[in-house]
Amino acid sequence: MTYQKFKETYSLFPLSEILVGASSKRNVRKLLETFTCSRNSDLQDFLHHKAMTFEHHLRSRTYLYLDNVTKEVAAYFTVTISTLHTENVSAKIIKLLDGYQDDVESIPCFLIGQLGKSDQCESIKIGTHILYDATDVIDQAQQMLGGRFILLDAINIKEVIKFYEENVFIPIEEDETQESVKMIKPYFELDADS
Amino acid sequence: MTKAFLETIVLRPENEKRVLSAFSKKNLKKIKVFDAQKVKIITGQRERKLSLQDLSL
Repeated sequence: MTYQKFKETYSLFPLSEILVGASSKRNVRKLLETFTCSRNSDLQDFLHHKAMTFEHHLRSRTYLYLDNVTKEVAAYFTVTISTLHTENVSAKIIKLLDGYQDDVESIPCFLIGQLGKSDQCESIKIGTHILYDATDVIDQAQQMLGGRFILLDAINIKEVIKFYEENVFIPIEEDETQESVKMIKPYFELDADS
Repeated sequence: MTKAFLETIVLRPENEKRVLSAFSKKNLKKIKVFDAQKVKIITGQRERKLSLQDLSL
């Protein structure tokens, strides 16, 4: 599916906009429960049980793709600001991540906490388009605020890691026994390539 | 994953080389090409078909 077709098929709504405009939270919950993902229960559980609370308390921002015909949630992503903690990491690497200091223990970053599509969209290739939109939201914040990198915690499945690698995220850890793998996409300084 | 919101995210020393690779000139070039392509594709595609009223919430 092309990006243009993707935009014609689904409408992107910030959850915050829906919460403000809805007559009751129960209706919003019902809408969120139209999203099912049997391949990734964490993705489904977050949207059903945590997204509204996180939104209400400004902990993150969730964006929903609603199918223009069924008006059900076809996909979503959740972004926020976070910190990456360093544990006995060299000064050189801390400086690279922080951009200024080389002795800090926590480094601010943007986080894509959730990103995925529903069972109904399993066979439709829209992952890259969702990631385009998620990084676009973060890019806009980054242009106004600054920020050194985007972090995500990908489920440790070969195909998922490959998908993010194809979209220029780099794994910063490797452990086949872990449930997830942290990956980053750096921003570069204005004169980095000169 | 949800735990990224709830647990401390830690970078360990054994993964330093991967961070170096992420911030390398080679990766910078790759990201610049990717982002230029992304901007080209998404520009002018922000309109949505449904309105909030269509959802009857």
